[in-house]
Amino acid sequence: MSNEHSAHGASQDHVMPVRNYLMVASALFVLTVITVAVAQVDFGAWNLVVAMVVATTKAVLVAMFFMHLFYDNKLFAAFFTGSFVILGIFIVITMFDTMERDRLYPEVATPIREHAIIYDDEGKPLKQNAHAGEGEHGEAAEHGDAAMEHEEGAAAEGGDEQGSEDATSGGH
Amino acid sequence: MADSAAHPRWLQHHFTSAGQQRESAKLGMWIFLVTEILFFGGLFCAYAIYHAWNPDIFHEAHKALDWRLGGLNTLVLITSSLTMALAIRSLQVNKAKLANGYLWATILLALTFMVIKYFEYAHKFHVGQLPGKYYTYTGIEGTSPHIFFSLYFMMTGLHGLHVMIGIGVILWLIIRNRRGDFSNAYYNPVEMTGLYWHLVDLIWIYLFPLFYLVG
Amino acid sequence: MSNAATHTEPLRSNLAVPDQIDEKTGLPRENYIQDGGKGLKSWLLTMDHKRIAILYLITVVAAFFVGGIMALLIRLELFLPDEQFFNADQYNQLFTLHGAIMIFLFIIPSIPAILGNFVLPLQIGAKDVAFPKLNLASWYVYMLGAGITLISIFTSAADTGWTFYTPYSSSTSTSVIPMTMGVFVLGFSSIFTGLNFIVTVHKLRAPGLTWFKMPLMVWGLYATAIIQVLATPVLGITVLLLTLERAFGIGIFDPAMGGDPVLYQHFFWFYSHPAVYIMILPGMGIMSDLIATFSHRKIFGYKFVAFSSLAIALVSFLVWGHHMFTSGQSEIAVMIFSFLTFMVGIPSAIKVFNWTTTLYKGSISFAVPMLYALGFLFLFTIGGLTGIVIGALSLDIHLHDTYFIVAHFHYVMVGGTVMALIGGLYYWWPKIWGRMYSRTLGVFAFLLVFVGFNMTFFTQFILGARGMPRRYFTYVEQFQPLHAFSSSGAMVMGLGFLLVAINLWWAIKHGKPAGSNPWGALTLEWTECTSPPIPHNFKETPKIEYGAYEYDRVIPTMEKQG
Repeated sequence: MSNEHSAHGASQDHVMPVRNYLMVASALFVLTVITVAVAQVDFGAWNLVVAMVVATTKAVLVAMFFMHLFYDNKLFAAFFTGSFVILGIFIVITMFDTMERDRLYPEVATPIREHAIIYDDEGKPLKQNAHAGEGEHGEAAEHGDAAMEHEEGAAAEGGDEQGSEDATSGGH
Repeated sequence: MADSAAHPRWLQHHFTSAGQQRESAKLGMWIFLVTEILFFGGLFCAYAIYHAWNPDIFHEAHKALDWRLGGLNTLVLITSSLTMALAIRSLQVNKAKLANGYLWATILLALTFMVIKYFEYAHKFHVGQLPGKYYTYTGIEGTSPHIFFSLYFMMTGLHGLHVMIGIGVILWLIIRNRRGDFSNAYYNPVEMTGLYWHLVDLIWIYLFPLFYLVG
Repeated sequence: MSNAATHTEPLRSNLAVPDQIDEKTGLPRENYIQDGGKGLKSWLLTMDHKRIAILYLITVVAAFFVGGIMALLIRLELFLPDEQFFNADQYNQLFTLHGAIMIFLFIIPSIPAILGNFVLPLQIGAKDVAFPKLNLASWYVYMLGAGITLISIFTSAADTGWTFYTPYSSSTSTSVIPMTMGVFVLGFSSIFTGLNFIVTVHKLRAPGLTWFKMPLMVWGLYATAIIQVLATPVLGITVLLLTLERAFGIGIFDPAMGGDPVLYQHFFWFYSHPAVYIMILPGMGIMSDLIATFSHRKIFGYKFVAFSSLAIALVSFLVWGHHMFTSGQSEIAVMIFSFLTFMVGIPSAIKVFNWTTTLYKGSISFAVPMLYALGFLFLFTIGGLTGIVIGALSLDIHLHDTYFIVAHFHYVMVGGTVMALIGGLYYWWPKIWGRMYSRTLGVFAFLLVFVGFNMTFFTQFILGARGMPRRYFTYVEQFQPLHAFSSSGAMVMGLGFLLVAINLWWAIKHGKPAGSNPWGALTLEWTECTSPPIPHNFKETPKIEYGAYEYDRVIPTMEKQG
């Protein structure tokens, strides 16, 4: 049987020395310690970036050496990275919606705001609403002109926060 | 049969060579891993969106998780990946007995992971940091901290389920290996399980910082 | 090679020579139907891709007729306004079941699992798919998923529509969970099939069969398989989340708990839009084979047709939001999606133009499969062009959730996929069973289907443009004549489908023996296989010297019997 197998030797895997496996594992250990250590310091939004960079480095090490992608048929790597591309498309385009919902163009936003009523937690209409929440528009309501101007200013700034939260937390 | 030597029993009839069978199995496994990535990917997408909507609540809520336990579990899982890789290597150099040792070590580490996970879960059940409408904890300020725990339980739960399945499959490998099914000529099932096991590790590599460190 | 047509003899050893033909049946003595084992058990435990295809054929066609009867009931109710046979709630359950059964139990598995399973290994000169056990498992998983889905009928059928939109689906009192869990399980079946096909195409092609010598059916199935493995897992997680939402109130999609119901729609359509291409791409593959075979002409722009399949697969992942133009997405997302939607038109149009050009100066024979191919060309073009109409943002605001949408996707799904499926069944039926059906009945049934289909759905374009909303059991008086016309068309179409089934069923036992290559095609399943094929497909692995459609170099030998 071993003779038979050597006839197909080309398909056999590259056998990595044990030392290499241990080196990869130590690198993963060190990176884990680094990411934990960095997380103890507050860098604001950069914490997420650092954590993701370290995690991706670890993931690449695992894929390349533990999963043998580095030595194997490049087709496998292509499928594997392809899945991350598709996942990236999914997340990014979806966030084009979720992060931009309250950013309306004036010609759309103005009529909506003119007719919108935003309710507070007790179900009473708020006279002033900081942002127009998504979908919370009903019958026409009376609005002061001052309130209108205030809203349009907010729309121009394009608040990145989720609108409904501000609205439900009681306005200003 | 005259051609039984040319056609060993583990080689299926529709393949012409061991190499073709092996490459096919590997490609199939990688495509399966792709489906796994997109399966978990939906949850990562949900995480990204709710995190972007509620960065402060996520930051507050993540403090409820113990990074020491999470970090320990990360190290445990990385070590289990190492032992799994070494099990495959042992088969490559025809040391089936050593391979079984490594496989047992992998199972032991996986069980350690699950035990630590159990203590974490038990604590959260105890204080009411539960998903959705079961959330009763009052220690976190903000409008909807339960979303964080919904995502936490779904993602780590699904991951834990994969660990359990992995343990089952590795047990099956140990039985087959003791029966003498594997040698350096044929160890496809071990190699495929290895790929699966590393992917489980790889997903945890992302879950750990997202939940325990940055939140 | 000289540019004059050279006649290449097929490898004769692979075809049944006259003394191997059974005199009583007229079929080859050795074939997968007789030699794969006898009795029900041999079929239920088979790992032969051809037999698994038959298993799928039976169950998927059954699902088609169940879903079809529901469609007829829907049209019966709509013949007149107001309550006729069903009240509003029953009607909601009826169209939900019709949609869910047709999408998840019929159309998605239809062409890949039936015809793909049967012809893919034959067309690439392989003995089987790469993972035969997984292939059989996919059928059992399908049966399990179908069973779980149908539990919903006998409890209280879901009334959410096949899309299960939240928050209604997480609050309605009907049984949504069996259906979502059924869909979850069915997803695995689809993934198994796709995974199998990708590996088979990559690793099991016969020597000499390079990528650009493959039949375009294989390209179509390959592109489909890519979508199946990339998109289906997202459906899995979506219905899982919905189930958890309903069962445990996790709040991910519940606005009352800080969740976002529109996010559900993103999740759902990230699968379900590519799924539309899971439905149509294999049909396009069949089209390419049919058009080339029956024009006896090399397909025009082979590489364009091949790559446009992959292009459609890729672009399909970028356009899901066009199902959500009116659901409160951000304006920037809506514009991105509308723009990207127009891009899908490009590869689809490339295919249509290439098929049409292939017909030009071809020597066209109007066999029954070819009629369906021409029907596809006509109906799919209408379906595709109206897709451009509703992909346009401003028009869609008006047409969203009207009968215009209903007509559009029926033109693509029925006018496209079902036409291709029936055309494919007619085309490969002599290969599958070794016998030929009645051409007269075939042509008659085609006319019924074609005329009935246009009566039913072209009318619905008009209804939709006039403002008839979808998913209502009643309507205003003025729509009655059009609705009545549409309903009559549905009955004609239903009769047509029934005659197709009768014709094919009759041919299995009583048709004349067809011979190995009744159409004079050049792909391997015709030139190198007997009809029906032997259990391992080829006596010896074929060596491929010419491409699938090189009619300019090779004159195929027609093998007809009877």
